[in-house]
Amino acid sequence: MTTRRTDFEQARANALKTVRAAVRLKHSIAADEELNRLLPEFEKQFTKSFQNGVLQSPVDIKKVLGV
Amino acid sequence: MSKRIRILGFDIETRKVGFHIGGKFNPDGCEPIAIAWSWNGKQVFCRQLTVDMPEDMLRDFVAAYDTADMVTGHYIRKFDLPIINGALMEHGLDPLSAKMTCDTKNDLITKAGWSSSQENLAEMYELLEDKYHMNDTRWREATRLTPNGVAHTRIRVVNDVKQQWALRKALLELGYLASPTVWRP
Repeated sequence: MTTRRTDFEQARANALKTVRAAVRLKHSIAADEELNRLLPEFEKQFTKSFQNGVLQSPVDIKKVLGV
Repeated sequence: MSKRIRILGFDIETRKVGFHIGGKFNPDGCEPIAIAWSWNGKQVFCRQLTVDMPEDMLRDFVAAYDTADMVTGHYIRKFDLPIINGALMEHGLDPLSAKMTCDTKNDLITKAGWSSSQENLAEMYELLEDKYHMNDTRWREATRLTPNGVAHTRIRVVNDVKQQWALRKALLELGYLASPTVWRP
């Protein structure tokens, strides 16, 4: 059995959904910007290290990134 | 913990075998007559025909190859590795496994205007390691496996491994090499 939302409930759900989506998008865009900034430099370092005979461990990687 | 990886530098010398080019099927037959490899660019191991049986030459190289995390050489992805694989298959041995490769010819960043031969790059960057020059007479002796030819081949392949090791180091320092890639047979 389905329960129909009242107009108020529907309006509130729509508003919350919009806020949730906006916040997610804001962080997602920020994450993309950070990744675009970090990844090329990290990949360069990782490859350089490999070419010089050292495979960086995930722990080192986190240290490099400061996470 | 970071891990040290094992990098194997290698080179082969080949000779033409099979049909002469020009027939209907235009085959370009060739086989390795010598394989040399090194873990550090200084101590070089060499196996070659007449000194070693073909199967032993291939097996000894594969034993080293299998313990390497990455192999390096000049034009190896399009020449040396496929030819070794062909020789392994001809002798009924297991083919090479996929391997990370650093190819000092094919991994050079995009450029034009000069030769990317190992000899030219070594000259351009003033490497101390010389390439042993093989003229036509020496090649004819080498491919006929005469005692003189075998000696020439040995010097050539060993020197090439040393020179390529030095070349790779120089290119890395200059930042002229792209990321290594996996070669899959």
